[in-house]
Amino acid sequence: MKVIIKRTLEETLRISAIILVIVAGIAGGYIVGKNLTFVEVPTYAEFANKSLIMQHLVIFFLMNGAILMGIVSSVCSGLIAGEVHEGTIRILVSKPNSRGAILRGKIIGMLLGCFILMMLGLSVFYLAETLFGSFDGSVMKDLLSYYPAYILYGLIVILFFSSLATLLSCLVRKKVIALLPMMFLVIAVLAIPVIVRIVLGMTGREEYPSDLFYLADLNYQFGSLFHWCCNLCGGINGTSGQLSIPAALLNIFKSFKLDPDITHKMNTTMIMTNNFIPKTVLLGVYGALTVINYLISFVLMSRKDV
Amino acid sequence: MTEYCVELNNITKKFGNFTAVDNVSLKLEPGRIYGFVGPNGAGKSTTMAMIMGSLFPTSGSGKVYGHPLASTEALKELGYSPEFTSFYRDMSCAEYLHYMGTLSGMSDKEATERTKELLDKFDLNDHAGRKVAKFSTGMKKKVSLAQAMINHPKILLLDEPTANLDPTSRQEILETVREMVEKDKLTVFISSHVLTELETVISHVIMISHGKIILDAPIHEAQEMFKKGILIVDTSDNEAVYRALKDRYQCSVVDEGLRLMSDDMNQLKQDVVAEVYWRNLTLNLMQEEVMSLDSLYKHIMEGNGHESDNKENA
Repeated sequence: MKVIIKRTLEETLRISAIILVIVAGIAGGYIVGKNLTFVEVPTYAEFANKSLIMQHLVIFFLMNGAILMGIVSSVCSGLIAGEVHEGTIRILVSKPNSRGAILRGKIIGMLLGCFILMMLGLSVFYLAETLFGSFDGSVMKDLLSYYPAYILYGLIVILFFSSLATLLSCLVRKKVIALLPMMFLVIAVLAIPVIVRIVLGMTGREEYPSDLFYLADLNYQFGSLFHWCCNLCGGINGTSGQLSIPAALLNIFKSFKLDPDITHKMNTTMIMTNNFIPKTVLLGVYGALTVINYLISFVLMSRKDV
Repeated sequence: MTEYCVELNNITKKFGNFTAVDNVSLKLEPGRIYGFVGPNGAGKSTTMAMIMGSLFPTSGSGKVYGHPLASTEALKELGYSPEFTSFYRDMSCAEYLHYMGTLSGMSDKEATERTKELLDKFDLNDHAGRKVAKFSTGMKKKVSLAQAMINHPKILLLDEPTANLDPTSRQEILETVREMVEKDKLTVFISSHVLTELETVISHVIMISHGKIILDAPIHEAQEMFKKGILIVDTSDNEAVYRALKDRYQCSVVDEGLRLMSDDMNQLKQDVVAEVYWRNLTLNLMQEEVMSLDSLYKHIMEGNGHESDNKENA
């Protein structure tokens, strides 16, 4: 099995993936660092919060978002389907290894490779944002303190996306057929719900027309998981204005209009965490789905004609 | 009691409504070379793939040295070279063979040594560092055969090892197979369309058509079984002999002279000699035709209602 792990690791850590991760890290770091140097900030706390929120968003949408989800989907959808399509699987299964050992080796190699790529991307990102941002030591320390949360969220993304892509890869005979639904899923997490919310907002609706929308709002669900990880490192904090951006882009905060009789002001709002689906439920569901996907993959692989 | 190295018991493989292999039973004895022949789509590759464990039978079962098909223990005894071998694009010939060795459970050192040995045996040393995916068809076949041999298997399954090769490469491959069998006492299960060449290697023939086994016998027995009284005759006046015998025997003119067929070979020979004697002719040739694997194949397939497709592969 070691040889399959090594081979899959090498395939995952191909030069194109490494370059992509490094370029994304530099671009992300540039966005965070350079953008904030032009923002007028009256206090240290506000500056730190703005930096952190910007960092959270770039990590969610770019580093652990489009890049990590894309790489995991691409690698995993080819794990079995790629070999079937290329015809190399016939020789692979003719060697004295069980089908389970082959799949296990491939999954472990892929997980290791994706983890290394994620760590490389986050490291480059941190270096780039501090270089471009010229932050002082305290801000750099604050920015760094959330990296365990990003790593944890990255692991959740790697495990869930890899389980689904592996399942599809065991199901179909061409990588591209497994990859297409995965690409749609990435878009469904990062873009579609955001666009839907913007369109609803433009028509004057603050809320979804039905609670069922939350079940389809993968952006909110993954945003909540990201929020849960960040809470382990201090949470996502800020003023109503600062939090309005993650509220709009992740749906993890909701603004409530306060009673003017109490606040003595008109149109006062308060930002609160959007706990429509409890985070523990989301963790449980996505954890269970990951395990089920992997189990079905092993069953399919053990019975697959190649 | 004979110990069989491969046993298939009533295995059937269906793809949707299409039955590729229909209730096939086979028993292969160790140390023999089996020729597995049949037209395209007859079920040869499917049967081999089921022995190898890359396809699972719809029904029936099988064993390799007593181990169930597709089990790790069974796979340890087998080496497989498919009809179309696909190679990893990024691997050189030596890297590929080394990878196959380590996949077969060898240590790094063992795999390196075995790779060197096989590169040497298949005359691939000069190409060891080249990408195997860019090799010619003949060289790819050699690499495919080498990877099948990597783990010192007891049984070799070779699916069309000489397909799409020029005559020299075909002969080279078959010669290598013959050498390996003699040296390592392997059992070889070999499918091929090039029957004239296969005939020089195999000791046992299994014919399959429409997913069913229609002949399973040692090659000499099969030849005897289907041998017809065919006599090739050449005289100083073949036309005269033809005219004299055409009403009594099935007779045709061929390159060598006359081809005469009869169920009673002795009577035919007497009549030919009588004609030669009474007409005062010279007898240049009189010999019984030996049934080649090719003619045996045609004979059985045509008798079985199938058109032979070996013309295109001959």
